[in-house]
Amino acid sequence: MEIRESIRNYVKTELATSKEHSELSDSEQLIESGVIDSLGIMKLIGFLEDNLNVTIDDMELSPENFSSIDAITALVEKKLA
Amino acid sequence: MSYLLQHLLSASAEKFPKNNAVIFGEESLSYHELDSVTNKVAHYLISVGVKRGDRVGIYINKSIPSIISIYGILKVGAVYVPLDPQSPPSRVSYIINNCNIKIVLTSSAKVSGLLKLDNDTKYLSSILITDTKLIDLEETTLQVTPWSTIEKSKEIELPKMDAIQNDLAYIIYTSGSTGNPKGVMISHLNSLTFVNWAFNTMGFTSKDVFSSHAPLHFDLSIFDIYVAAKSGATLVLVPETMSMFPPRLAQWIEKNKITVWYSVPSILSMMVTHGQLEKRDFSNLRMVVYAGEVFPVKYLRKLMEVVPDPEYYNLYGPTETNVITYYKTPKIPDNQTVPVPIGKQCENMEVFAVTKEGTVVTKPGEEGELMARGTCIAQGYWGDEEKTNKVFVKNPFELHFNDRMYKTGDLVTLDENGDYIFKGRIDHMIKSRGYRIEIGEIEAAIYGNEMIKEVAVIAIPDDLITNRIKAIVVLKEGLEMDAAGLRAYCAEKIPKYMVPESVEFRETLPKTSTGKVNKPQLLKESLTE
Repeated sequence: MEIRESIRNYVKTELATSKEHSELSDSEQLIESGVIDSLGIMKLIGFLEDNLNVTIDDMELSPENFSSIDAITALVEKKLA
Repeated sequence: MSYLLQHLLSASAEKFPKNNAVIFGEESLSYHELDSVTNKVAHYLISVGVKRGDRVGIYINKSIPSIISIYGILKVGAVYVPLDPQSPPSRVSYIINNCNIKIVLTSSAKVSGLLKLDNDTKYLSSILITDTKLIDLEETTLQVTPWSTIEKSKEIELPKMDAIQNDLAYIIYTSGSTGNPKGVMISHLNSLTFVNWAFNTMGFTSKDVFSSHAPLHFDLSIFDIYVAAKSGATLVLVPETMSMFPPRLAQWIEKNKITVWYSVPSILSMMVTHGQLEKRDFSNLRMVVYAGEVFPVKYLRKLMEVVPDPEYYNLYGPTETNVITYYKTPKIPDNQTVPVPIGKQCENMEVFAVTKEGTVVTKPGEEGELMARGTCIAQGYWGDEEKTNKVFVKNPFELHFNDRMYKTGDLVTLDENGDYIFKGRIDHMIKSRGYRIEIGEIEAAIYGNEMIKEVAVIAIPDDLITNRIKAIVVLKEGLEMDAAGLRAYCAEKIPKYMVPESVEFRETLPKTSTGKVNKPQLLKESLTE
């Protein structure tokens, strides 16, 4: 739960820019809605690597793994397992 | 004679009717199909009263309909104005009002955003939806036309019209230092001067496959769209979210057999660092063209090592000039740390640099502001004579001429080979991911919030994206706000690429002896953090 919480918190405070985004749910599409853009994804990877102790491999850089807070959490949990 | 941009399409439709003109995902249009459907769009625009010289907005994510829209508008002799679909509504309304747009071409996905602007837009009266997806529309006073109207149209001949090469083809809005974007007016001749130069100098054929990466409101798109059209080549649109995933983008280039790639360096740098390029087959790729910002030499060198076969070109030029210099990039020595030059002037364009003392830079070591002359130079800023006259000026060395040159604001020097080297800016404009950003526009946006007492925006140099934007903010006494709140406020006023990535709150800002905010000190403190 801690992982999910910290990813959610980062996405909402550092990546989201509009008011609607600050209320986004864990399943919301982050790429289509523009919450994550090309700069955002690099910031997010930096955050995951520095704070959650995972290394994201280049081939894991895919829309499927970063589509929602759920997806990012699943990716990180899988890597830590 | 091709003296209007749309002539490039018509000529290729004659010569290569069956060649694919544009591909996006599974969809494609041949030159013949693109030519006919855009004739229909033109007839529709005439039927709703669009005349030569009118401005028509395009509010569509990059897609086949956005390419159709461009040519449909041009074929009426009208002027297309790309409206960034990711921009905040207030900025889109500003542009619609600024150049009196009455009609906007949009998509089913974007139309509701456009209808919400209705109250803020004085002139907007009509909307054409350029795809067939069915949607429920909220009530509106605007006239909304579905795509089926175009599909049913029998008018497939090119409408008659009398435009000349000096007429405007498009207006591209770019960041303005006083808080509002300014519209750069580009004529057909301005654009074709560049397109013809690129075609003749770099060499393309109808077998080429161009990537189209830049969005329409970014003038890099001009090269892909029109040089491909002139060549009878295929334009393949890069899906917008693809750039976020460098390994996918690299696969995409391979899969689509792209022969000519053009983008800002930061996209290429990200492919070098994360794209797993060594796993890909780039045997079709014969040209890599980059522009818009300085390419960090370590990434460029690496790219040229991993993908050694294509020719590499650096193109340089502000939106106001299209492209004015180029540098065909040779292999970069291992010990080189300085960025590659912006090169020499393109044929039929003149550039020279003027020092502070008013003399022309002629040898290495001298530094001056780059000036440009020629038919590539824009017609000025829409509805802003004051700003236009500041930078579109008479040539001080040829005062008997009436033509105007453009002061780029870029500082350059020369190297031993006579190539220009970019050194920096004379003002507060910065680049980030190739986008031009006026620091003043961000500060003006933040000052619009009444909780703000003082703000200083600084650009922190960055390896991958040229600059990161940081705001240092002083709130009025007793008020509270967090970084997320400030960024959300900014996102309502300015495009996302201008929203400060980081925000720091302070009690006061450091000042110089003359009372100005001491930005060099703020930058120094931010760099040592």
